[in-house]
Amino acid sequence: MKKQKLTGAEIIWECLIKEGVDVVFGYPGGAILPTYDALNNYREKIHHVLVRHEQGATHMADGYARVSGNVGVAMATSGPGATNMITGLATAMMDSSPIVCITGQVPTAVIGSDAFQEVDITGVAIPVTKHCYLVMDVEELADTIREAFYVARSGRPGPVLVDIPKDIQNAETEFIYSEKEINLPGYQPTVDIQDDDIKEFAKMVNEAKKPVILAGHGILLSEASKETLELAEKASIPIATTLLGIGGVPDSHPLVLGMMGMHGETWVNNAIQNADLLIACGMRFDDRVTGNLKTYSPNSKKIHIDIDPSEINKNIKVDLAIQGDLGNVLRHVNPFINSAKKTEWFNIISGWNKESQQRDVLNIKTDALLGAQAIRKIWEGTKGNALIITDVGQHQMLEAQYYEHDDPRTLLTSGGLGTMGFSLPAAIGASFYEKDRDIWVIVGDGSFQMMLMELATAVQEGVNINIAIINNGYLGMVRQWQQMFYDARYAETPISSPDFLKLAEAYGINGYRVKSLDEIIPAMNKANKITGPTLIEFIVEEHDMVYPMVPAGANLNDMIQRPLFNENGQYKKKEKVL
Amino acid sequence: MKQTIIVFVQDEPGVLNRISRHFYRLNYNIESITAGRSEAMGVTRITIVCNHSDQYNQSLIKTQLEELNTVLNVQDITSVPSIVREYALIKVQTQKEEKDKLSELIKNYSAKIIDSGELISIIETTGEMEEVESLIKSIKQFKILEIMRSGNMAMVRVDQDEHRIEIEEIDKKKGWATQQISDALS
Repeated sequence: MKKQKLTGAEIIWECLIKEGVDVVFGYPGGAILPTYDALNNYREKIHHVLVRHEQGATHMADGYARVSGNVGVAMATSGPGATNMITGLATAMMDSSPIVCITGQVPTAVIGSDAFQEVDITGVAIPVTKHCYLVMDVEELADTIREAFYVARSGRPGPVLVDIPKDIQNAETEFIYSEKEINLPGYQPTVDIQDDDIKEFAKMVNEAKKPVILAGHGILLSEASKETLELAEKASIPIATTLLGIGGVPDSHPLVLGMMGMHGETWVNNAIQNADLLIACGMRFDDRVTGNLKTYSPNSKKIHIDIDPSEINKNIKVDLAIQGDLGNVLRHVNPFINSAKKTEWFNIISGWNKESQQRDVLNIKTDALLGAQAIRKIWEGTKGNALIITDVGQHQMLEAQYYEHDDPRTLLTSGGLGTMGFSLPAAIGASFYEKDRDIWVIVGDGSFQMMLMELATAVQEGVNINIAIINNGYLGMVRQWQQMFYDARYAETPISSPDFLKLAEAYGINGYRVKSLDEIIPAMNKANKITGPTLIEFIVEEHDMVYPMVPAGANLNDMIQRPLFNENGQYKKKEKVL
Repeated sequence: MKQTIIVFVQDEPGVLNRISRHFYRLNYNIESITAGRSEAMGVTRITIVCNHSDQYNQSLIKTQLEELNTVLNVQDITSVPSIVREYALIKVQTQKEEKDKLSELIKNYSAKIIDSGELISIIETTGEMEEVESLIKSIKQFKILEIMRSGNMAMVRVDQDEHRIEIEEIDKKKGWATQQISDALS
């Protein structure tokens, strides 16, 4: 029997359904029109979210992917629609997030002629994608989309772009979706583990006196929380997390020290600098994590486990490198680990911890609300159970310090690229997977304004998200650098905002404003009773900074500390703060 | 330092773009790049000689290229004993009475005149990069009109054959995708 022929446009939707996609974030336009027309026949199986900017679509797909572990899908037209996606692709690339972006392209006959809304998007996108395709034959369409999903989700996940000319969307062919295992000649995402490496790994752990586990995003991607904790508990190893590793191991676990790096806590960075063994699990020794590479953890041996061989020995030379899936590697090594107690090592670390407590912002009395206090209150108000999506800047670092995450995939943030505007669209995307979850966007006044057009998308879709705007009237993190390293010459960092309550009203949502600690929980309770998006503006102290801080390129243990304060909770030297 | 890399890639549009950007990104200067068909169908073999001051991590370019889907294999032969050769065409203008001098001169090199007019000759040569350069230097006494150099091509020596990489054929027309469609249909 001869099969019915489908158009390329229909094949796109059929492929997405075969890949288990039930939501697509996109924006129509000329070169993708045939595909949007075909969407009308697939409404029952796929929900389309109309975004307000294609960058928002990519962040939504990214948010969906990060929270679900599935591939997120974004769609846009050719030219400006496609170029608007670049920031989102780069964000997903840096943070290993599996998304597939489908873009329309001008018809094959006019490609290369500077046709209306033509841009060589596969040329533009090569550096910011794991792979990208231009489909020039409808016969190859289904297999290309299948391959795109496979590449996006396998190995180290990442974004893939598929560019489909308009005439390919209109062309007809039989639809065949192969079920066979994909085998790409130039792409081998899985590797075998060597027994010798495992034995060496175990030997190094068993001999170590002052080891530290560096827990990265790989723990979430490999779903290796259990295995990592097993290793830590068995050999009594403290765990430091990267920004994207937060939630991979429970923050409340006694062995979990907290976040490392530029805004890592003193005891965490000190532990790394004084360690005799670092076990890097699915992390990439980013400059924000290491500080000065030459003085980074000088006396330690280093083990690096990563699925991506190009990360190994890139920034830090290691003594033992194991390429592979983290969970799999740890399952192999854990049986060879001897039980051990390391009381002496933990005593040293808790000594550093006690020292830092004297400077903890939570113990300071202030007239104005501090960002850190606000975030700690949000943690209390959500009982630490919310899905948090942060943007980029001071609030992002404060969240990482003061909101304790006990479960994987409960913090979504743009770590590698540091994309301002990420949080709101990512939260909208995530809400299509975590439908019943308490979702909080924590965002600065600057970041919020970078992508606030997506508030209309949130309203149109009626998604249940609460937006906490931490408003200090500045591009706070940049101002912090100006304060510290440019003699407080504030070049273009003071930023005005609209009246956020009126903005909320204009979008038809409820808005609240809080100025003190006591008002926070009542406002949160009000927001939680409402279905659909809500907005709370937190007016916080203008000049507060994120402490501790390792200046860029400085040694990891050369931290700028929060100034000490006296028994009344007041800073001893006021001028140091401002 | 100079690094010589052999890259096996799928023969398809855009592959050079995907490769070359990694050299640019690391601020490596490509001294020469030579590409051509390999023993396996659908596979192009490229010899790249690059120059950089990165003493710290010479394997970086290899691992980054290997990560590309269109790259089948990468071999760094910088320290593997290899045959490295360059091909060059040189167009020279001489006075009538100088022609014999030119023929005599190039006898010292593995070079010959492959096309000759009244005053202008084209010289063909192969050899190591230094030999080609030395030939050009000695011809400079005449008027050199054009030089076309192929850049280095490399193959590891016979006694180093354990370094040889076996590459499987890729029939684009019968690639994995189309193959699977026809399998599914049959």
